[in-house]
Amino acid sequence: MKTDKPSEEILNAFVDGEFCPEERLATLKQISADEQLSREVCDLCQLKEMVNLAYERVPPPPLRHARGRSARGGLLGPAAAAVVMMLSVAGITGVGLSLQEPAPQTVRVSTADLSQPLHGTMREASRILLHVNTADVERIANMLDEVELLMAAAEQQGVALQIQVVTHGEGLALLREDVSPFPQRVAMLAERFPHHLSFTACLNTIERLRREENIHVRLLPAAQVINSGVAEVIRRQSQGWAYIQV
Amino acid sequence: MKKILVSLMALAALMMVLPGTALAVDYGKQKVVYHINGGDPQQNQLAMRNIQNHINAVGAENMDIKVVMHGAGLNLLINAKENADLRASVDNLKMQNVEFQICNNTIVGRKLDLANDLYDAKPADVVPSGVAHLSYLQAQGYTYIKP
Repeated sequence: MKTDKPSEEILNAFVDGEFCPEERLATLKQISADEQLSREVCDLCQLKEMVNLAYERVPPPPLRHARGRSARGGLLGPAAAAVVMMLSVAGITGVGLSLQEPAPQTVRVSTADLSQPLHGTMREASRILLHVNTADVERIANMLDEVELLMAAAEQQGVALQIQVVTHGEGLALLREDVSPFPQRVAMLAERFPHHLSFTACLNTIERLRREENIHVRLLPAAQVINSGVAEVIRRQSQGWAYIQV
Repeated sequence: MKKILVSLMALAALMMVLPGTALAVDYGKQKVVYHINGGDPQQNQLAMRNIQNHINAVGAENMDIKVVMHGAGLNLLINAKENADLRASVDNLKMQNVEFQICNNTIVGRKLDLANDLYDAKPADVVPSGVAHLSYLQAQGYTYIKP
């Protein structure tokens, strides 16, 4: 009987349930005997769940008002109207624009009929999960710019917008005291929007870094710890949050 | 034996003529938003291929696809001005009703000129914010895919 570590292919086949019962049992024994392997399989299972979730046909969120939903130029849902309205105001007034010399004359809004009144509060569209699993500085900088713009516009409009940044894997770097490229920016944003913006860090990643790389992670003061980044991503989506991977 | 062979060949020919029939799955209508915020031309070319494969599997008539670009993702249309392959991919997808939407925050931030810097970009393609637009489309029932 082979006791070597099973190949990635075998692990994937195992996770995908492609084995007959005997093969499955043998692989299972091998996996459970090895902590590292168990974790890998756990990660694979989570990944698979995420992929499945992404492809599942999710029923549209219930709308309180029955409305026409033509894709272009038609009536938009109240939430959408609020977002677009909010943004257009942000764009035009340059609220919270951290970029140099904004050029308001180039602002063009084309997605919605802005004469639509602002209906009620934003619901589905008002909760956004930003999934950060990359350390790519340009992408993260861009994300922080967008977050600041959106939050400022929401605040000005009195619209409840909730954004949760979920970091794990390489993405944890954003919230690590020793390597974060934007520690002050994170602190400033968290302080400015305390109830509407959160930065969360995956405990699994923190523990893995300690175990495997002997890195004892110290987080930025604004960071909150969650058990699992992947599980959080799934949980929030099932609660109707919009999902955006940075 | 020969008869079986002939019918097998006929079947094979049929499968070649009608790609996908052997594995026909009715996906119904799909509304999908592809999110692009990376600027690597090869990655972007791959993303265009992903979208084409998606259309092939589901059928252009059943698809409502939007490509939302922000940040470095706008490089897709910047590079398409010079890169003929990328340009052809964009043209092809547009002919299949794929809409390419551009983040205004990025245009302002990077001081881009819509008409001169980006390939085949029109004012109607501009959305106020990439992130908000991604959120909006998901609330409208679009499935989010990050290629």
